[in-house]
Amino acid sequence: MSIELLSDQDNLLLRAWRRGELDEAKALEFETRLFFEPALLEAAKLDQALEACFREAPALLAGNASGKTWRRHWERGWPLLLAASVGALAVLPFRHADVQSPVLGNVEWVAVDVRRNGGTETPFLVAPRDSADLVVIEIPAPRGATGPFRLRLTGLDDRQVALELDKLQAADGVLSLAFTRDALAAGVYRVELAVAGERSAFAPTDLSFRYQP
Amino acid sequence: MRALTAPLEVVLRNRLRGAPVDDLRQETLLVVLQAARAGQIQEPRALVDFALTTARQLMLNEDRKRQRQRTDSRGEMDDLPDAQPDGFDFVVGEQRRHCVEKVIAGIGNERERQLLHAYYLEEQPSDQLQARFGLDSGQLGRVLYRARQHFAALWNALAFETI
Repeated sequence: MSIELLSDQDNLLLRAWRRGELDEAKALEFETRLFFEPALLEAAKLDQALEACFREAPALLAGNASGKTWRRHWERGWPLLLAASVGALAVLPFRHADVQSPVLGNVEWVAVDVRRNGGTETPFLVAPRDSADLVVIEIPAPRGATGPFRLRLTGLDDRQVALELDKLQAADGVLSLAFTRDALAAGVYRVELAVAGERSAFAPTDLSFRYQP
Repeated sequence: MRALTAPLEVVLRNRLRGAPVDDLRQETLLVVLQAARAGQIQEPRALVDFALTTARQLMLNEDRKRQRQRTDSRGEMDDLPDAQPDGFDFVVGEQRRHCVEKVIAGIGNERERQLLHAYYLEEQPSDQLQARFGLDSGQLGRVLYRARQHFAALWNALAFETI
């Protein structure tokens, strides 16, 4: 999967094509590009899926969700999300790094970095709440690089690779690693990175965390 | 042929507005394969042109066939509800709907979801969106990029267990 930042022009073209606003010649030209440009094809696929998802569950996305929906979310523990959102509203473009482990529905976001852990040797604790089915760990990407990277989590005790992801791209200097709650066993994991597409070995980072599902 | 499948599917999905694409995709690939074997296509660009032209022709034929059936049945078909387009073929069923909700809930913060909702569902023009959310085109592009990236990561993580 090749997810890249599209140019403004391509974002506009992609949108116009999806909405059937291009004349036949331009639509054909755009469709031909889909066969030769993997990043554009991936963006088109994802946009189609996103649009379909939005149509499937519009209430979740609408900013003006019904009072009933909001009450239900509130009862599920959304105060934390709201607090995080208020913080996020003040900052554009959107960043997750300053949000303290927000929960969105059943997804928990955790920013793991040395700064938040006070620069100590103690591994950062990642203990998802009971309501979280999915955990997204965000780590700082190597400075000035956007990837793609290969990332793996290695158990500190058994030295076994617990999880490995390929072709990760950094967004706003952050790499996002999403996994289901049960994908990792309890333990301490070290984050290791390598540049994708090269035969370079994985290099350990300064980041490690204790996972407690 | 494998390299043709994914883009062809995306094109058909867009042109057919969410109706099932499997049959047309297979039919198109079959025609392309036969033409390639017969030596009618010499280079990749011609292969793509031929595939797109074939797909358009087959879609037109399909459309005409439907129109004819509708006329032949003297309007009886008009009483039947149209098939509901579902965008992605896999986004169906209760379990998958639940999966979709999980994915959506995982996209960004509240403001980002509002923006994406306006972008994808309300289909507001980009310049209006930029004005409403105080973004320039570059920032809007980055939000879209993040949404696609998070969506792919979450969907893959979920697909590992539930799809």
